[in-house]
Amino acid sequence: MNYKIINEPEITDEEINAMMDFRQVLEKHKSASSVRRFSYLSACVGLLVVVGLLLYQKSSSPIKSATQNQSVPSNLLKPKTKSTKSSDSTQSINNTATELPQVPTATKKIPKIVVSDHEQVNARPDIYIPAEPIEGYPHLYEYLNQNLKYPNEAAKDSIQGVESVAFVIDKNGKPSKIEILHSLGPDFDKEVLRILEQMPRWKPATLNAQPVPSKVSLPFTFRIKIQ
Amino acid sequence: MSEIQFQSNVFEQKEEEVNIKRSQTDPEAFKPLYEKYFKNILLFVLRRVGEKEIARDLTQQVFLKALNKISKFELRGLPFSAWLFRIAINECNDFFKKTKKERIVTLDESISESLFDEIMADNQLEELKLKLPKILKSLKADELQLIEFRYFEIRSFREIGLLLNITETYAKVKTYRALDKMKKLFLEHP
Repeated sequence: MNYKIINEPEITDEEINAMMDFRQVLEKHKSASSVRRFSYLSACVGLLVVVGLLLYQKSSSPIKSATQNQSVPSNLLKPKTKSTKSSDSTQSINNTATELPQVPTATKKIPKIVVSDHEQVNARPDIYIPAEPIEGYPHLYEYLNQNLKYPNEAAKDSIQGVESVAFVIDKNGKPSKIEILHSLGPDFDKEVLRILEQMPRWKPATLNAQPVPSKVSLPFTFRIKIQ
Repeated sequence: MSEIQFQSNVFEQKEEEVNIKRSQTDPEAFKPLYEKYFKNILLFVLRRVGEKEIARDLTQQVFLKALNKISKFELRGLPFSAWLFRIAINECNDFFKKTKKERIVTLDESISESLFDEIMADNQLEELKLKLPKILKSLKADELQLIEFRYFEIRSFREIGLLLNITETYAKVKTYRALDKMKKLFLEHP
């Protein structure tokens, strides 16, 4: 960088006072704020357009069910069976001794895509309420914790882990299209299907107060507790 | 001379805190802060750009940026004045980058004698005064900035650290390195 050496520029207090103009700073600040607000608004409108296009594409596809991901935190269910030695094939699994895990609060993600039959994209924002168990998530978790059993057949292999399941809660609040996203084995799949078929009823998701099918996913954690 | 008032009294500090808090929701409340620091920032910028009109425009820009970002300013962090000076330093650096203008170094009679004391023996004062512009021109931008802060504007190492977002110790180390370089340049220059 080139430097130029100068003597102290002379400037009086009067000159400095005359240079002050807070109004100018304030006006520029206000116009900058309104530009920022406009940018946010543009971004929101842009997002709505993109979502609208996605909705349009989705509604014209053969599958007309809504999909929603309601992610429930992992480690939701940890049935810990008491066994003497996990690798021993003769071990006894005490299903009644299942320990209740702590039930975390369910987190609901606002779905990115919501589709219903004959849906039209309106300028008015849609009101979407995700599906939830009629008696609430804590009740559902309690049911799952109490009823989920570690499959005896799997104990000899000491299998532990998380089995992820997705299903659609239809317009009537019934689970359908159960899909195993991550399987720990056929015995675990069977147990998860058994428990899902008997689980408490759900309130379907609604879009502008109209029930719509929505997709829900749940992780089931199976652990062996070694005594 | 240093223009940062780090040691303002408690009453002033409280008043300043109130104004900062109010400004975070009401931009009009920024006015007392603008009026309090305008002169300090203007003189700081003027010493670096050398022209009053440019200094005025950059100072306005400093306050505009401060107002735009005041909602993010945390009272328990950096002193508000140091925060403003940091914005001013960045504005000046941006200005020189964009315009490719010469960086101005303001030398006047008030330059701290301690700078001369650091560099040479008493009997070489006149010689140093003559050589000083050349020596300063040989420094890198960050070295020059440290010498300006410490010896032209008489800032403490704590202040320098705050302005440059470095520790007090590192500010000291860097300043003494720049001084060593100046000593060598003084001895080397014919």
